Amino acid sequence: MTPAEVWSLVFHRDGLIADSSLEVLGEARRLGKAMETGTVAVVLGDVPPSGLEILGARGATRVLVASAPQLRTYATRPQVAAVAELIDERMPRLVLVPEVAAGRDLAPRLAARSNLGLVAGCTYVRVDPSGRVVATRPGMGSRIAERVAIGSPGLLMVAPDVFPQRIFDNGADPEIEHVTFDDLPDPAVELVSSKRLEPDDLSLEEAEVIVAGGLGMGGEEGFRSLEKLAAVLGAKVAASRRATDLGWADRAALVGQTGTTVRPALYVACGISGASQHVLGMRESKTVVAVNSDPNAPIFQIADVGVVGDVATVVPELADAFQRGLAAEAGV
Amino acid sequence: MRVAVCIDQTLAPDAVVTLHRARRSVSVAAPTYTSNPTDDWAVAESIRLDGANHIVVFIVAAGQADPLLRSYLAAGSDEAIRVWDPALEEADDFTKARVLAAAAQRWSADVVMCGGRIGENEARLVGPVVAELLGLPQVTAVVRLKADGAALVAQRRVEAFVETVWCPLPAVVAIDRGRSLPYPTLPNRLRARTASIDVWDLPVLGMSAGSLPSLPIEVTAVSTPKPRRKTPVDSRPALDRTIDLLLGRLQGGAGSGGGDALLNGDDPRTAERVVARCLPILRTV
Repeated sequence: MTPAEVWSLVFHRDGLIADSSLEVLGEARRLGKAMETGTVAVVLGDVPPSGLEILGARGATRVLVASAPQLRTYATRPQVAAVAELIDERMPRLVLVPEVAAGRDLAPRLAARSNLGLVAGCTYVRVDPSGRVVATRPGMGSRIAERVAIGSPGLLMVAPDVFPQRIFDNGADPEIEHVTFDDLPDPAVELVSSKRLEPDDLSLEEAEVIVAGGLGMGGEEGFRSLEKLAAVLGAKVAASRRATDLGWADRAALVGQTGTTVRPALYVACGISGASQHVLGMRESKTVVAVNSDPNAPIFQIADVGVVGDVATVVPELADAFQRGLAAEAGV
Repeated sequence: MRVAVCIDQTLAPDAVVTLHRARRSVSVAAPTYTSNPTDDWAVAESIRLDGANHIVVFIVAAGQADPLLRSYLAAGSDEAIRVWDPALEEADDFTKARVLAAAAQRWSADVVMCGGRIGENEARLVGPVVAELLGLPQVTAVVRLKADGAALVAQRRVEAFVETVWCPLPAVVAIDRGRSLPYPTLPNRLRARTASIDVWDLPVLGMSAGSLPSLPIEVTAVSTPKPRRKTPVDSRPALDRTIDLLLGRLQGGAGSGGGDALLNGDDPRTAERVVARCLPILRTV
């Protein structure tokens, strides 16, 4: 008898399968091989046949498409019900779930419903010689790594960019099985609209990337030069107190004690000395890049990357370099 | 509309964690705790939600969580209830979610709110698990929330997309991003200082220490995380390194600042180096 299969949930939008799902599928195939069993890509909701072709090369030995009218848009309850039913019926060994918004929405609810083990944030998964599956996850705010054994069936959540996308040579296209569900629960939540995110949609507090300018920008015109860098990075422009007081930027852009507190993934501080009032509003940024002409500026104390130089030359150089870097990446 | 905000606390960044490999456990010397940013946002959004006329903050924690609860009272929530029982000492997120679901049900909440996640890679189970246990619809990844009569309109951030959804009440909402907590007013601060914080134990919720479910997984080992990439080691003689450092300082300050060496803005390679450092971050946003 073939051991129970490894499944990988596949999320898609507008008929396109997300990269994160393909990465996780590749990892599922590696585990499937280790356990000498099949790897099944489980697609929730219909995808045009052209969208499914890619799954074989990315690791699926079989494709399972769950179809139902309720699965067309964001719909936790029918999705959870569909996956739970499939798991109950076919008892896979593992179900890998991409840790994206859809996965975070679905997996914990599925675990609670079907009393399944769940390990989130997996960075490594190993199969023991005895067949036991052990996943490594971060714990205590990433201070430690925990190895966690998970029973069958078990849910493993894997974040994007943890595993690379892999290409497999399957010889033949994987078999595609459609399962139609007639009695899924109502979604209850209605999708009103959906659109691609623009930087303008973000408030300063929500922005993941912020380019901020201070007195060192030298004037309104100098301050405007930040806009190009911000456009390249898809960032919001923020300002220190001195820059807003001088009218170079709107009060709404003020970061600091009397303005907004921000926690972006990347904060680029240009011509900002790093007065404590400003630092209070941005010190929780994950990575801080500072550009300042004064090597003793306090901002360098908290910066992860510090550049000593004239903002008038460094900022445009950064904009160009980021444009090249991002273009090169998009071309890969 | 009665709103229950289910929060948790997180270990303060300066806490020192000690590994006990043999016991497969960790201990923290004199642990101090702080709030989760996403929990702050959940409380902030509940306070700003039209029609939220009674807001309670629930936490599963021992008495050290009281200052945190008082800070949320000062910000404008009406009530704080701490659920605690010695049996919850080792509770995982799943057990806590189970307890919080029972608490929200007992309090007859119309909306259960919680923070979407902790940090970067620890998924929060609480919202979806509470929703499943109470049989309620859920909206996760919420960045903006508005009341619409007896329903909610939420904006969700789904990777590169913004979705607007409509959700009937009662419901569970998990907040991923929100506005800052309102600045505490003087009357709220005074009230928060003396307000009584109710403590519920498991029997109050109709649960017992023996019946606490946890996730069917088992921690088999703990370790310190391995760095993903090794930093190249500068193996040159100490004198050479010192000379470089001094030269750097003379040439405009490179190497003189905080943790990392400063880069020289006049060096044409500087921009590339900054970009190389930042591209992995941009990939994640």
